[in-house]
Amino acid sequence: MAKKAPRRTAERILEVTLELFNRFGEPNVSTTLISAELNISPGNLYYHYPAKDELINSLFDRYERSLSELLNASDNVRDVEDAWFFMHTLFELIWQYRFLYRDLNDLLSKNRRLETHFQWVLKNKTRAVKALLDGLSRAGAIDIDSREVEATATSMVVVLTYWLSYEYVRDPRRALEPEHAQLALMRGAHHVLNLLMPYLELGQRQHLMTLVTAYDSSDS
Amino acid sequence: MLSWTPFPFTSAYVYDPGCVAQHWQRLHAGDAEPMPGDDAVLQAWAHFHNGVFQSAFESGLDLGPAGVTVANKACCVYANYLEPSEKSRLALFLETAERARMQATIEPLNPAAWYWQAYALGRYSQGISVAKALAEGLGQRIRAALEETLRLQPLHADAHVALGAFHAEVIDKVGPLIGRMTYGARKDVGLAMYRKALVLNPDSAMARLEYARGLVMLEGNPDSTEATRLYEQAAAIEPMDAKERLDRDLAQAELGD
Repeated sequence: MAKKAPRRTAERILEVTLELFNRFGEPNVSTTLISAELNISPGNLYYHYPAKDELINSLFDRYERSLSELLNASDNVRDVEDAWFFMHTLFELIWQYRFLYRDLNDLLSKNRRLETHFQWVLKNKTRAVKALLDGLSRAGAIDIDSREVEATATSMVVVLTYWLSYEYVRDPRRALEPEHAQLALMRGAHHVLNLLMPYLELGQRQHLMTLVTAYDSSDS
Repeated sequence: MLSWTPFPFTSAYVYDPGCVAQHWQRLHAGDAEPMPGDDAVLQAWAHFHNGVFQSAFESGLDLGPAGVTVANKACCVYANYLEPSEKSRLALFLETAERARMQATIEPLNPAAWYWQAYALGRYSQGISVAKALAEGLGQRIRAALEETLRLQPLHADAHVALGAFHAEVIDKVGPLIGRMTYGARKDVGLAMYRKALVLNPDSAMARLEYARGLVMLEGNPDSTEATRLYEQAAAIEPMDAKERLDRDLAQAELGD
């Protein structure tokens, strides 16, 4: 018998579900819609993912794995340009899984796995931002009193975590559509890094402003 | 009652009671259900095998105790394969579990009463998430009902499949250690259950689909040669009725992707 391509139904279901969750929000996407969009029978969907929660969990596991890998790279940030690139990459990943952030409180209240693991996500983000501050500090890019690190890192994580909610409230009908991604991500990265302004060494501060202006003009 | 979503190949199977009786053994190789003597019950089964699940369900219920099993099977098969709404699907499983529980109190020696109770609760558990169902104590109830089915009817192939799935789901969701200590779930026992089911009912596409799913849960490799081989076999089986057609089509969809 000819060798067949690896079976991909389960993978295809996940990809389409992620797209639907991101566009319409998880609470607005039923299993009926998912199977219709994929043009598969409800039985076929249930065979692979008997519960909608299993779809959410599988997508969250992927997000958590990618996030973990990315956050480990925060140790290598030495200057504002590295930090800019790091925040952009982080926002891009959050954007890919934006349904999690769009309806975060709702998801946390009904899904035990998210309820427990999202606390870990916050801790891991805070740890990574502290490592980033530490790297910038050692390289002389920022001058920050060690007593201010914790609060600054927390503020950065809050902006990082809730930036898309802010974008969504500002323009619920369009904010999370793909064509708005670039601007939304750029604004997010800018506002997270803006929290470093008081601590940035003069040259680095000017460099950050140049980066923001450059992206501003290229996107407008 | 609202109309159920119809089986998509409405005229593919045209059993009448006589025809069902003639092919009874093959059609019921999975559930080892004894052939009913009553024509009206055979007619309800004919609806089931033709894929007119709602008629099978409703006429089964109208027949009283003699029709409960066909009603329960029609309801579960419909809910599992065709019901598009997750909420309605879960409600149908819960209703069936309750009907089968009542049936078992009246007919404790009827294996079907125990099996459909376990099947409906098992699918319900998968639907609300197995971890949640185990926390609610459904695991012990499902396992006990399946073991009772097999004690009463050791040749029940589908109950072997369901018990295999029980072991696989528990190990997949809570891990081998807790699975074994708390629920007595074991990988080797689970795999043996699937294999026994295939010995009892070699023509079953469903047993192969579930075995393949169980292998993925227990071995963690979705592209395993063994799982693919099971899908290929399931896709090649000539379906004898509507439910077998749904299983065969699922296997073909899996391979044709």
